[in-house]
Amino acid sequence: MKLLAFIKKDILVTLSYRFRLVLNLGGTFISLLIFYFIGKTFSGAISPFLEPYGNDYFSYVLVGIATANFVTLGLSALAGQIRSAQVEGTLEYLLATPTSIYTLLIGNTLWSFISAFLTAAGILILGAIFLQFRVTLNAALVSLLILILTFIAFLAVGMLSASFVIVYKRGNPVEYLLGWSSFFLGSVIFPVEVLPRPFQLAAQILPITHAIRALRELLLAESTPGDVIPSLIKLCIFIAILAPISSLFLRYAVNRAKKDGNLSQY
Amino acid sequence: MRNAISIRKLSKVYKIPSVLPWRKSRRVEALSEVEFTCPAEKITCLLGPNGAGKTTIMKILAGIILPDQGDALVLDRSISRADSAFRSRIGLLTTNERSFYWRLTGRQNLDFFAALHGFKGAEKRKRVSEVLHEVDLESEADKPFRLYSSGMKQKLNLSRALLGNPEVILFDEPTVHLDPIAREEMHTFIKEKIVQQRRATVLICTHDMTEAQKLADHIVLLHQGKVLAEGSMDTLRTRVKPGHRVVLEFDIFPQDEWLEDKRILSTRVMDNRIELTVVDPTVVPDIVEAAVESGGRVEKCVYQEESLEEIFSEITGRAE
Repeated sequence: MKLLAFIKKDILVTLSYRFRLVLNLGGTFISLLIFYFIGKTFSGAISPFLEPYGNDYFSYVLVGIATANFVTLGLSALAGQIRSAQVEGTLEYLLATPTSIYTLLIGNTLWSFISAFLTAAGILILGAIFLQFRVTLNAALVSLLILILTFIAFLAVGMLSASFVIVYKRGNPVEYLLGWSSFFLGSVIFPVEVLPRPFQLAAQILPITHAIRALRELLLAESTPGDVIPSLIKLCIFIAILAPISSLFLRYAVNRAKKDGNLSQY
Repeated sequence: MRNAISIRKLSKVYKIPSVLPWRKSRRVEALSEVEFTCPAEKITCLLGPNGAGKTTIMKILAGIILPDQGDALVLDRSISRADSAFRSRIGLLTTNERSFYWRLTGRQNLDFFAALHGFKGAEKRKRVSEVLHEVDLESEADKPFRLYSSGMKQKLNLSRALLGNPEVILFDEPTVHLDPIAREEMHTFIKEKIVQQRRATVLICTHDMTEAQKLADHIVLLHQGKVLAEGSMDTLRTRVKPGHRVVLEFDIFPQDEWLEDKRILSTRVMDNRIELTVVDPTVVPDIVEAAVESGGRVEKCVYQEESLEEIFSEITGRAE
């Protein structure tokens, strides 16, 4: 119920900034348009790396961008929301309400994640309609499951990221390390197979690599849900390891900030 | 008398990092073994200048920061061990108007905070309407918060503090941005609605001596992180200067030795007036009668009580 209150509050705040909402939607559209024309420029050229996915760069990058929304959010939204709450002055009062710190932190970010989830789902649905992805109902449901697992994985990353913001205010190593590496190694806009072997190995420890691969296989390579089970297992392992670690880090960070008396400082 | 809040040997040191990385961080002692109590269903004023440690105490009581040592018992529960649900028994009013969502209306703000207090659906709507009605803000509730005047913002702040029906309410400088009329309304509301009707315990932190003198049943004087004195106004007065001060002004000064055996602690004669400190103020009519019998003609008889400001200066002066 409390989480729903956060979502309702954030929807109301988002709707009150209508111009920003239009700009955000426009920004996503423009970035997709850029990749559409890049794809068109090279249409007809055959790349061995894109062959398994129908050799269409735009379809390839569309899935990458839809999933990468979670990376951006996981790394910046939770930390960003905490920082906004510190700057705006709402955090201190929220902490005095009968609400657990985890509900406060997750609640503050939930709408950002839901809107990213809706954006990703919207991009993929539009792709499926206009680019004529041949998707079975089972594949669509598994794609939804992948998006949900990606959502949870990056929520855990977000909690880790927020822990650094709570303690150090500025300077977030999680954002630097995972942000840069996810975009570079995660096959968002180019296949990781074009990179040297050590980079390809490093990409295996990133959740986005598995999420994007599974989605592309389902939506573009017409694989069956059974084919993406290894990727799903890897995502689950990532969540099982990171969620408790993030939770411990967050607890430590909040206690330390409460001890230092600077929880609401920025 | 039952205590709603007991502060026990509370200490807090802040580490202030130096701007220059090669310099050591500075340690600032915000609280040093602070101890005081707040009687239940009464108004306690935590009084002290800026930097005395008042806000640190409020933040510890609100669960926002943790003490280094000591503990605070609120309604017999240790605040450091209390779970988040316990916080609904403590209301908080801060000066920080940025703790509201400016893009939302007053009602939408309260709706959100009511949900955090565990209210749902129709019960939530009812509670929000109740508190808005209580502070007389219902007609303005659907305006965006950003369009509120300072007085309206503070009313909304007050209604938010009341949402969880708290037994203890912490007020951090409640009238600091208010004009004299709104300030008076706030004082009346605290005394009549919160303490007399709801029977809640109120702790106000302020540096406004007049406000403290007007509202407080119990006063705690805090200076440089230490409690210098606590008690009622009378207790503090007695501590500064035992007895009651009376000034008599004469048209004709009485003859000598008229003041004997009247339980007078001290006298100070200045021209045609005499300043007396008596143990019991009921002896004053006898003193006046004795003066008249001794040929004096009394023009004026005034009880002079030390103001809180004088008491505070005296006590802090002694401490320094």
